[in-house]
Amino acid sequence: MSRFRAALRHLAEVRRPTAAQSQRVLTRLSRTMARPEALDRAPVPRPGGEERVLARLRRPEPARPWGAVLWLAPALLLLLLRVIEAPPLDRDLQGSGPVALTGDVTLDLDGSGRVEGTPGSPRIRWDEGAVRVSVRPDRGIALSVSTREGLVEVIGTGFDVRRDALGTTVAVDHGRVRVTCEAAPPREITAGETLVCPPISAAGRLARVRAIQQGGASPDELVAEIDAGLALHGPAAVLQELRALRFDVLVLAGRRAEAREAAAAYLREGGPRAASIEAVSATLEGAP
Amino acid sequence: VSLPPVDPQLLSAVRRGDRAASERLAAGIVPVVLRWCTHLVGPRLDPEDVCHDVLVQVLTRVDSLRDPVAFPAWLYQVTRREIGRQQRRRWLRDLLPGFLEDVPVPPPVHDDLARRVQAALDALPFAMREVLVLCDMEERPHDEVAALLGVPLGTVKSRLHRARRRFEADARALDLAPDALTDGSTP
Repeated sequence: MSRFRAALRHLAEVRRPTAAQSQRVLTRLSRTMARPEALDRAPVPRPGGEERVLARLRRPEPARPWGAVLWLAPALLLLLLRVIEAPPLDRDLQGSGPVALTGDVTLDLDGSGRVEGTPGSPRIRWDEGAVRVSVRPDRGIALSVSTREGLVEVIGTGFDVRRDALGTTVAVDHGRVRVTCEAAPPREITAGETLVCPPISAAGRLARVRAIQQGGASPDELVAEIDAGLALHGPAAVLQELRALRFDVLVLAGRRAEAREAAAAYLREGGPRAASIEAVSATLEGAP
Repeated sequence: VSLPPVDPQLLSAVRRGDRAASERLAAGIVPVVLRWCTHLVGPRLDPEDVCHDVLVQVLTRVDSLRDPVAFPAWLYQVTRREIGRQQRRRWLRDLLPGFLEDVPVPPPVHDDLARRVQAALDALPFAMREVLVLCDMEERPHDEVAALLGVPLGTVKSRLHRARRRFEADARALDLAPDALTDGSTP
């Protein structure tokens, strides 16, 4: 036996249906048979089935391309109808209040953005503020909401997107959505879950640091956010401000050694607060 | 796995709507049908789902079978037709999301070698896949396979030859080298 045939035998062994699988099928069949109306929905037996099987035993079955053509025709027609029926969407979204985007998609706006695409696949570019999206389920709507920080695609039905200083926050009401933050793999979140795509620019990170600082974030969280901002490209003034903020946070947290290093980093690169930071840093000299 | 002999009286009882007879017939054929479904449906369908629907078809269509001798071939053709029907529905589901109700995709196979062999098998055209499953995996005699498929014996042999060549080529392309077999098939 060739090795490849042995591979097939191996597959047969590994995927041998178990008794539990057989029992599951039989249990389900038993439930189906207990509902005669379910059996009634099965296709009606075609007359002469047995004769056809016996005829096949006598001769090979000829190719029947017309069967595939007949089956494909309605599918292609449906596809065509979807394309024909779909006038393009192209409008600004602004202000606050509910907006019926199509019969299947409703938005509740409090901010600004723009919608493009077709009723079957609306593409919303959201710039600022909050938008609550409700999609009628099981209608095949491929809706997406993109922000600077990420892309949200509908799998389920309802979710909120808020774009503010924290970045883009996605909260799912019901159903599921797929969220792709900039430079991160896609993640699916379900009802009750929230995901934040942080800003992707140094200036955006600076705004986020200030927002979470006001929200009472811990020094460790602030330093992590500042370091993430410093790793991004941005205007020199923004990076200077982030370095100064890092120094402030560490001083307030009493982490003097790290504060001295932060001060040295600020002074190395320079900035408008150099004099005051140097003065404060001098008071930290000799401290543990 | 061989097909059990079908008792004509059992078939008659099923036709009369005897529930116990239907369950006996289903229990007798479920291992064979489930095995066919497992290897033939491909990665996007659940074999148990398809097997259930085949059994429903068998029990509702058994009236159309008058000669019990033809039962194995008839059963295989019902299975084949149901697999084709569900593959078309899956295709339609993917083409027009939301048009049909969604169904779960079966979990992947954990054995690495088996997963790669199954991938090579799934890449074959259905006619080649089924002849490999029946001849090389289930080790059925060629004349029995010819009867199941409803084709002459020579057709089975030539199709099997082509299928083996194509499978070996695909298996090599999927990095299913013979060395991998030694690692995976021997515990």
